[in-house]
Amino acid sequence: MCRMLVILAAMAISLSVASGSALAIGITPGGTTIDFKPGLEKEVPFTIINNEHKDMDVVVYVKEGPYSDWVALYDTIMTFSSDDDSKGSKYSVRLPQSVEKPGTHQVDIVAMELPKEKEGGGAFVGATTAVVTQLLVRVPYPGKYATLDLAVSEAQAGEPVNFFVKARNLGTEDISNAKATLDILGPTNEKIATLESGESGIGAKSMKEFKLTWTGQTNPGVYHAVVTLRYDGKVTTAEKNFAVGNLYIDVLSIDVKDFRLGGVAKFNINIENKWNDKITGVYGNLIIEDDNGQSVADVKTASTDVGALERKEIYAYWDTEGVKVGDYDARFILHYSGRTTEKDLKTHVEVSDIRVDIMGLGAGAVTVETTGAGGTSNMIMLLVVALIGINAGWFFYFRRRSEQR
Amino acid sequence: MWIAIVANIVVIAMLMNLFYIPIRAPMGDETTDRKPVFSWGGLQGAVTFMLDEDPEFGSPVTKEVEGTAYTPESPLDFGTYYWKVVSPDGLSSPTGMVTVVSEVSVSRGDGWLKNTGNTPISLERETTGGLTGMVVGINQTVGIGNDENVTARQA
Repeated sequence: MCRMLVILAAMAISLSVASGSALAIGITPGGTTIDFKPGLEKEVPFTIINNEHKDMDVVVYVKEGPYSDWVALYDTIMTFSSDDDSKGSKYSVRLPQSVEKPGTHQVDIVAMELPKEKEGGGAFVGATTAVVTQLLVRVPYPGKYATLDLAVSEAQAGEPVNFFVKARNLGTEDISNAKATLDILGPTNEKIATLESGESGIGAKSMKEFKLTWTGQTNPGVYHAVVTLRYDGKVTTAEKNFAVGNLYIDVLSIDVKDFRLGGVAKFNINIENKWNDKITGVYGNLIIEDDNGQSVADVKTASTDVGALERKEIYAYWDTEGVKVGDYDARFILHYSGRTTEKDLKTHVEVSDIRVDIMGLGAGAVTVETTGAGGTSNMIMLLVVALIGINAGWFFYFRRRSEQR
Repeated sequence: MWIAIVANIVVIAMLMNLFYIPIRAPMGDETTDRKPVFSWGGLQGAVTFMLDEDPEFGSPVTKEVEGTAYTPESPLDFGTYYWKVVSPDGLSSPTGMVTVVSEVSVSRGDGWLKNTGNTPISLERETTGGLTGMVVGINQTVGIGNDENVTARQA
């Protein structure tokens, strides 16, 4: 029956792809996971999404497989009009009393777009587009069997990094003692830190999350985490790359030495790679403008590589022939790995000196002192109580007066 | 008299907002948005936003937030999350809940297919030459033949 539907659908698909109009279909959720229980019966909802808001028919079927008879559909054809954002349906799951093979077993429920037949009919040929919502049934492993999932929180340099280690016991027996150990490795695989969780039990078919926090001196860059779970004489591991902060090169200072007006000014530009890995192909662009906003210089530095956390000097050259003494606005743009660091400059040109100020550097940080919130809250609470009292007083006073009248 | 009382009640209500943090959204919703906007009311100023898969907040992700809304910087994994905000003096909002669900969606035109869902997809491509597979990232577009039958499932 399913196969028939698929064949019919495939034959009926229009030439819409070839003719340029887009096909679109969606389904949510992409998957539903349930733990195996003997004889479990359950209904699972899903929604088909009409992304392009058009008239279409969707054929729904269960893909043939070893476990496809666990699932029965409520709808096999769903009709959408252009007003329909989405439509819901459901399937029923009926699990057997036992399953021999442990692990995660999958059944695909397929929704395939079937565009409306063109006016005037005609033969439909073309390709099909289908989306799948999966039913995943977790059949427990005999004994104790743990799997690991590692998530890492986002952090800027210097901030603590949190690791969330999800240990799932997919076995039939409780784990009495589990402990997670996490190694943090740098870009050259050197071990930077080791974190250890406390010990904990994990019930059969249950999950335990261990939170580990790295509070060391975290420089921006990419790191590698390897987590090992030791549980009742068994071991399992998971690993993941994570980044701290953003890839960034700072411009520390710009100065010019040994300058004579009319000659070539050499701008010494000090930069610092804040990332924990080498960044290649770094170059800068110095643009200097006169009072009228006209560019009097647009020069580039040579391209260079900057090592991990390295400070380096790069150079830009400006031929000052015909340039007058005075102040010039300027901009320095550092290009690297598809990013830029941009600095606005004030350039003061003298006969034998050029002074360059990077705008924004040296500005003092503003510290705002806050008063204790608890004290304020108490004051306000007193005020609220007083206001309620005053209102109640007024109310009774005026009521009494009107009664006396 | 009544005007005075109503005005005072308004003032009291505003002041009471300092002792209560109402949560606005999401509250028990299901969403395919992996970066949902969490919002709340009240007049507390800076608060600590807490998010956890555990309703007891055993190992929450925390973030200091100025204002009354927070959007996660990176997409949330699929699953159910509990959230609340806590003011510096320990005042806590009620606990909200949101379930982030996956969406497998594709859009297809002349010679191309785009993953328009919120999860990478495993794309099964069926041509006269047989079956092939590939993974397509979120918002990624790939070239495919107009005669290929394709089936997308969560990778």
